[in-house]
Amino acid sequence: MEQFKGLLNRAKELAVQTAQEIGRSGTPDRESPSTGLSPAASLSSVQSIEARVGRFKTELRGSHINLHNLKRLAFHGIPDCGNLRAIVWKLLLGYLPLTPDDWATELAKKRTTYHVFCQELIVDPKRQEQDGEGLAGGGAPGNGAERRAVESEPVEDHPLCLSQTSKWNTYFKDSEIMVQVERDVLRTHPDMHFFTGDTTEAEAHREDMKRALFMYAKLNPGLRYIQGMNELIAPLYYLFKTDAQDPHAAQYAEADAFWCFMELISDFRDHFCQQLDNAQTGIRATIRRLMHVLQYHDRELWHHMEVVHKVDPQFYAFRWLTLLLSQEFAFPDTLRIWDTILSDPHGRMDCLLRICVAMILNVGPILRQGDFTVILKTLQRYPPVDVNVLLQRAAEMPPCSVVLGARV
Amino acid sequence: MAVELQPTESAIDFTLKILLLGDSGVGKTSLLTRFAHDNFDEQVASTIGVDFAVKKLSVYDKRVKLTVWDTAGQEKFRTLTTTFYRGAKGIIMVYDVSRPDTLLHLEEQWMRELELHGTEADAVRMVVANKVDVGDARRVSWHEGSDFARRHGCLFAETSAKTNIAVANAFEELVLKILETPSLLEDAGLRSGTVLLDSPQSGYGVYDYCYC
Repeated sequence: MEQFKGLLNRAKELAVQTAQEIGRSGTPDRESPSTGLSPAASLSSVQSIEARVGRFKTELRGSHINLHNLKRLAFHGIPDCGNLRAIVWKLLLGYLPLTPDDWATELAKKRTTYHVFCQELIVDPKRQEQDGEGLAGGGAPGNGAERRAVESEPVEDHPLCLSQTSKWNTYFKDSEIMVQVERDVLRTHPDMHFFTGDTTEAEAHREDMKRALFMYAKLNPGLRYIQGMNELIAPLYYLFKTDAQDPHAAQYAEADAFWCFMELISDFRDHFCQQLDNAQTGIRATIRRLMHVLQYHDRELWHHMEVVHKVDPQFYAFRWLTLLLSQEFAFPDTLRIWDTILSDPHGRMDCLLRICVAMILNVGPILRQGDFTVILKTLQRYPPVDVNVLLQRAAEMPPCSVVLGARV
Repeated sequence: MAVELQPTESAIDFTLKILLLGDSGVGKTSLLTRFAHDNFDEQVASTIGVDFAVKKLSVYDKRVKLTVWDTAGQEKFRTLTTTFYRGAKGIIMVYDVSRPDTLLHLEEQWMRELELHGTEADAVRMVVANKVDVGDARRVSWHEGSDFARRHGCLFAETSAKTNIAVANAFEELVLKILETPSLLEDAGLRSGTVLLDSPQSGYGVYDYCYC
């Protein structure tokens, strides 16, 4: 298994190198028509990377990007070439506007806003007290509001103050969130040096992700931080931080990942919300919908799993759905799967459900012959698979909204 | 040695479901990995939903299949997986000896959760103090842990999944105690009336569990 992953990663590296060489030497074909290929012909396996990169570059060149066309391309996989995937994901997530002329202004605005959030919302009463005493009027900009508040009530606020407006009270509540975020960020992709270990780089990466998740928790007090959010921000941050083509973008990876995470999770945030666990939009309802779609495709298999062997779908699908499959496959495969989820014309949730069904059907022969233990082990530790085959299978299914007769 | 790991025979006398409960980061997944695969990773991804492993043991002349269930520690996930509690014969409640709050939460949260969702009134409960390898960072003593376990009628063990201290031992103690509890074996596939009468008492911080 490890060996397999190693080979896969090596193959990906080679592909990236090749693509980068092509990117340096070749001039993309301006005249090549925008893709009008059938899904089967657009499959990554039958096209050269050069041709695929060329199509993306053509699509991104205009003064107004056609999102529909871009989605059609990205659905079949974005080549690991330079920062292509980073740019396309930012477009698919609506972070970059479709008019490239506005990118610089829009990015500057968003990055500044994030910076201001950090300054305003990270409360450090010790520092503020010091600032208030000795450095009135000085210090970093953006702390003015905080400092004024401290100055106006210098006596009432202290570490044991229970008042809702107490800076110390907020500080202690924040520390609880931070401890939880820290514990999980430390455990993000323990097999990747980018995230794990004592190197200065890995530590800096973890600091960035911690702050971004903390900011999300502060700005979404109804949800705060829920375990698993670290797994969702990790691919975004990784992609933006490793942008070798645009060092300026890499420098702002934290802010960019924060905004893209906000957008990504907006479609799935109800899965994280405990109050909605039993609601129509909560995780239980989504798992029920998944089972309905599975019944549509293979009723017998569903019966064997859930009725005969009593495998509660929560035991495997809960993680699949809440983490958008980010813990089920090798990291490069997760990126490939997310290309498709982010660009599916029927929506991200619809796409996610179809991929999950394809995963079950794909190991159908093992499941059909297995008992409770075999079924659960297979689905909790999914066997190595060519994700392109899996995604193709999912792409051939009718939209879940059609199968269920309702929007998902 | 009464307990022998991994019997080679495929026939199983009975199957027991064991749960691991406790706060996020106390080492539930690491205990499971150490026990089931004799392995330890410094960092493991946080468990989302539930995880599951199977381990076969021979206890005296009985072949036992343990299905060990690991769950997410964060509050949000507690109510989700109530089916996870169904039919559990043994419950391992884990705390981290360097974080006193994790012991406190066993009482305040995890035991309540168990009362609410557990289906076996006689299920054997064990408190496990994990990470005893931390040295000076230790904040909960053996006495505090064992007093707590005794007050709640639980077995007690101190373990380190990292340095492999007493992990298998803890699981074995739990299994032996389940085997001494006839009501727990009724639907576990064991031939009726077969109860072990002469299991040895271990001196390793284990208190008698009253099931009369």
